Amino acid sequence: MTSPEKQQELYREMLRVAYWEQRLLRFIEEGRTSGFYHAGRGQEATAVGATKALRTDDYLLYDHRGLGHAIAKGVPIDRLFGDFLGTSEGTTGGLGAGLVHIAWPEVGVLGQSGTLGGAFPIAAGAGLSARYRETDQVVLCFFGEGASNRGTFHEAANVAALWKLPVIWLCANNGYSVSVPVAKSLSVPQVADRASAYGMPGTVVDGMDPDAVYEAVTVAVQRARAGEGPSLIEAMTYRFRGHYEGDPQTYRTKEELAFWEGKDPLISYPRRLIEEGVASLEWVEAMQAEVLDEVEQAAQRALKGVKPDPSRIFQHVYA
Amino acid sequence: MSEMSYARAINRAMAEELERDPTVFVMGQDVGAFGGAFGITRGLQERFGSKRVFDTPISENFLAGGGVGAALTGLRPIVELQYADFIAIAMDEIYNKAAKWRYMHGGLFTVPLVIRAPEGAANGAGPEHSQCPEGLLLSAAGLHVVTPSTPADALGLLKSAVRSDNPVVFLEHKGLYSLKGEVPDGEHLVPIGVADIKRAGRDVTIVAWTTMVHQALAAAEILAAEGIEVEVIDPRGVRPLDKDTILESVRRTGRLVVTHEAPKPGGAASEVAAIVAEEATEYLAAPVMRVCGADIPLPQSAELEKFAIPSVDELVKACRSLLDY
Amino acid sequence: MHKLFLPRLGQTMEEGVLARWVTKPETEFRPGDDLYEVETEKVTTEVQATLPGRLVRVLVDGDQTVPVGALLAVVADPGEAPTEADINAFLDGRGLSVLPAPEEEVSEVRTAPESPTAGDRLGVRAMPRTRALARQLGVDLNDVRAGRPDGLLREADVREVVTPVTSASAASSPMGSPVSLTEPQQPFQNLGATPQARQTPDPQIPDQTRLAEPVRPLTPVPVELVALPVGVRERERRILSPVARRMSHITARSWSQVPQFSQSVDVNAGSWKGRRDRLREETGQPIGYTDLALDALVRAVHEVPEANSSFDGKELVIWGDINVSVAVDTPTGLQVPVLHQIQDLSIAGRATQFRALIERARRGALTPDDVQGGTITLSNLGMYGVEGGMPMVTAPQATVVFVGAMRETVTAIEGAIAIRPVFTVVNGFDHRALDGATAARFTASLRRHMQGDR
Repeated sequence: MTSPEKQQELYREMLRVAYWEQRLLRFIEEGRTSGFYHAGRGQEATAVGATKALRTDDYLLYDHRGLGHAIAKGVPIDRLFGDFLGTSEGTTGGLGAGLVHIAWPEVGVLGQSGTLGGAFPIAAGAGLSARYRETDQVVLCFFGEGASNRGTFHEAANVAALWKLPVIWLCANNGYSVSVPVAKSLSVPQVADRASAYGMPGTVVDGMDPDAVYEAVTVAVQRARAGEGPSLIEAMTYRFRGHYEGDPQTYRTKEELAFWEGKDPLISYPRRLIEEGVASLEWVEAMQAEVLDEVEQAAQRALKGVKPDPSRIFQHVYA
Repeated sequence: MSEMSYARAINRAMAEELERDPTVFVMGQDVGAFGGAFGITRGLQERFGSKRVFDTPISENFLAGGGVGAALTGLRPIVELQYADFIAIAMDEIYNKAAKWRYMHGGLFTVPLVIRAPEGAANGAGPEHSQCPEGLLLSAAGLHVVTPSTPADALGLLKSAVRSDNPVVFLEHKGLYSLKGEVPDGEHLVPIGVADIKRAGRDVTIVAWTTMVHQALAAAEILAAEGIEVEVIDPRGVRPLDKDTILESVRRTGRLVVTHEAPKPGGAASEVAAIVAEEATEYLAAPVMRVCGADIPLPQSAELEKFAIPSVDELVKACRSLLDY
Repeated sequence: MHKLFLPRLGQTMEEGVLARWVTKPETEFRPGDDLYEVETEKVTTEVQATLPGRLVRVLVDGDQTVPVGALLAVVADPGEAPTEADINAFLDGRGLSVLPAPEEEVSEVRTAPESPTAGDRLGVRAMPRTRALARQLGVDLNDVRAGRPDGLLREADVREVVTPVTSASAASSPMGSPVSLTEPQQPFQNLGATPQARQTPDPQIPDQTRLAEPVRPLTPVPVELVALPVGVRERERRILSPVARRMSHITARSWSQVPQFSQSVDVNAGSWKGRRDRLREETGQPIGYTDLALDALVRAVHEVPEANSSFDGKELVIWGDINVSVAVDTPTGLQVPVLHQIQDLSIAGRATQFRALIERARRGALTPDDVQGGTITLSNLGMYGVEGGMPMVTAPQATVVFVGAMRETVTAIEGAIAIRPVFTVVNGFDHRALDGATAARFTASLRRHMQGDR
């Protein structure tokens, strides 16, 4: 069971993730950044619940769905704003103009593959490295149910299970690959159904409940640290916004969206915490105000950043 | 100095670097106890153990991409692809991940990865096991590509590749594995991106890679008897390309033949010809000539394969024709 | 042609005895005809032809034991009439005749260089380094002649222009005389001063032959290619020598840019013979009619200096030296060497210089000095019988004097009819340098001096 302290931490982190994204969307509206963004609104419980089960020195390979995972892992949120504003304040020093390729080695964020499925072999390689160096670091690899159909998943999952590498395969199944529903692309009902084919445990959890995700990943992390090998966790979740900003979303119904919005973790979770006596309404509201303020300050800091000199494009091609 | 084969020199390079740096490891198909499909890793697992030298499943995407993951997290992998043709299988991992990860992520990482792969025609290995795929990687910004032609160069370049913080694709020509040559004792490093003038000459410049270096030297001997002095330059790789050495030679001789086993389109010879056209046109006394493999997939028949790759005779004719201008 | 081999007629057959040939050599056969009988350990059987043909060489006679696959004979295909040599070659050749010829996709063979005429149509063909050398030496590639039939100009060809080989063998080569018409502006570097003789350019020093700035060269006339009639058989296609090519450029330029007019007079040459003979006696030199003409020209120029001038676009440069360009026909073509500074020479002196010049021209030994610096032209091609015509002023000279053939003519002398030797002199003038009246004064003076009038 998740401790109350942890639950509070999870809630606060989900607020950070959601409010940060809200503030980013305002930047997009204001035209301060290109609209190239894949909103994670609705999937905060999965992103935060999974990532919070990690240590600082554990590795994260994240995907394009929002930045909840990167934020929860500890990437400073003003630097994230900087990446979107394309200034020297970004983690990539002005090279990034969006959510792809943000990285923060100090907290183990190894970056993002621009091609879906590119992370799988890299995650396995990072797991191999941890094993080789005889640390008990683990690797958390996020992906969507669509990306799991790539051949790279097969190779990486096979190797990780074969060698018992410390990798947690975290599938956020939100039902759609852009416009194609999972029933039309996945040959089995659940991605987790394939886990046993690789000789690793596969679990399906409620991706809208941060506690459930946190607990499942914690088990997987312990397994990995103990040298028992990889696990697959499939968190069932839903994205409230389009695949991309401007997505007409003709592929899903308003009813479906409303159904899932009814499970909004940012509403259901604090309600539950209050009901269970873990937190009070005052505390919740105070948290909201505090995080809003923190995000706003980060935004203001980021706005002070400067655009890089054109010569920036020639830096760091080689070591 | 010792005499050793090209294969042995590569083996020695790996052994020395495994010995020197505990973060170096070797993985690939059959590289462990079996010693590698071509025997290049023979004895390494025995000496360094199966943690340092081990077999993988048939998973080129993992070999290359996993190599990236390990390189990002503190290790220096030497990954062996069983054939250079398989670069095509792992193209995303090599061309997009290994080459670009550092740059994409704002310089926050280095990718000290070496991918070794045997290339080239050798007695009918066929169209998917005989290619020289340097051309595919010419535009891979962020990647280094080296191609040694002698045992000494193989030793020195592989050691430099392992020590480099950049991802390096090390293409060893399988037809040269048994070539013997003098190799210095002790630590022998060859810098990446520096061409070697294998033979000095005054009348014609031949720029050649791997097996064609040897064909060019043979052609030079034939032409020397006619009083024609051929300069043979071995760039020893295609990225980075030592254009200064090439240009200096062309400015002296005014005549250039560029030759490699791979076909003309998209090959390194085109790159050299374009550079010379941009930077040394006024020194040319004759057109730049490329003598390359036929623009076809290589045939499986060992006999027919010979007709698809350039010969000493073609080189000699090319040089003579340039002197006719 | 194709070969006949002994087939494996049974799974275990290793050899057979060719019992006899049924088809005779040189007899045509069709598919299905019996060719020969073969005995194996099991049976004697006939082998039929599968292709039509004619036995042209039998390699295995009757009653011979041969292994399966042995070559038995050579068959000529229908329509073929191979010689013994053909058959030998066929037998020696590689046996891959069954493979179809590879499709020609890309020809890897270098095609032969284009014919020289094709190259000329596209412009001068020269490698970059050759062009760089030409620029450095101040050589116009249009003046360079390709030494090889492929028409490509090579560095040696460029150097040939600058320092031609002057041996006897060069006399027959059009390259014997250096480019005389390259830089017509050369004499005009110093206004009014004595024109400098042109130096042989030193190949070590670049740009030595660059034009001096004060005189802007005439803009070149673009060469328009002429469409020739189709279907007419050619007798010869001659590549112009550099000198001839240069002349074609210069004359085209002169024609289009210099406003020319001419004046003609008939000159009474009655006194010529006498004067010539007397001068011969006095000087001991073989004085000729041309020498008399030169003398008259010098005197006429003294009286009308404007005839010995050049218009540079702004100013009229009236020369102090009289350097006469004299057209000389040589075995290798027309040359126009220059007699320098003849204003100060005596007739004898000029004659000596003139004869030496002609001799050098005919020998192909003209030096660069010999062909530079002309200020006025004397064309004495009337010796060929041409009586008159309209000579072309060659820019940047202002005057050309054409002396026509001498002829006996009925003329009026002091009112009476007489028959005298007469020749027509036609002068061409640059109208920018001389007006009609000035020109007329020169023409009149010339006639007076030619006639020996006082």
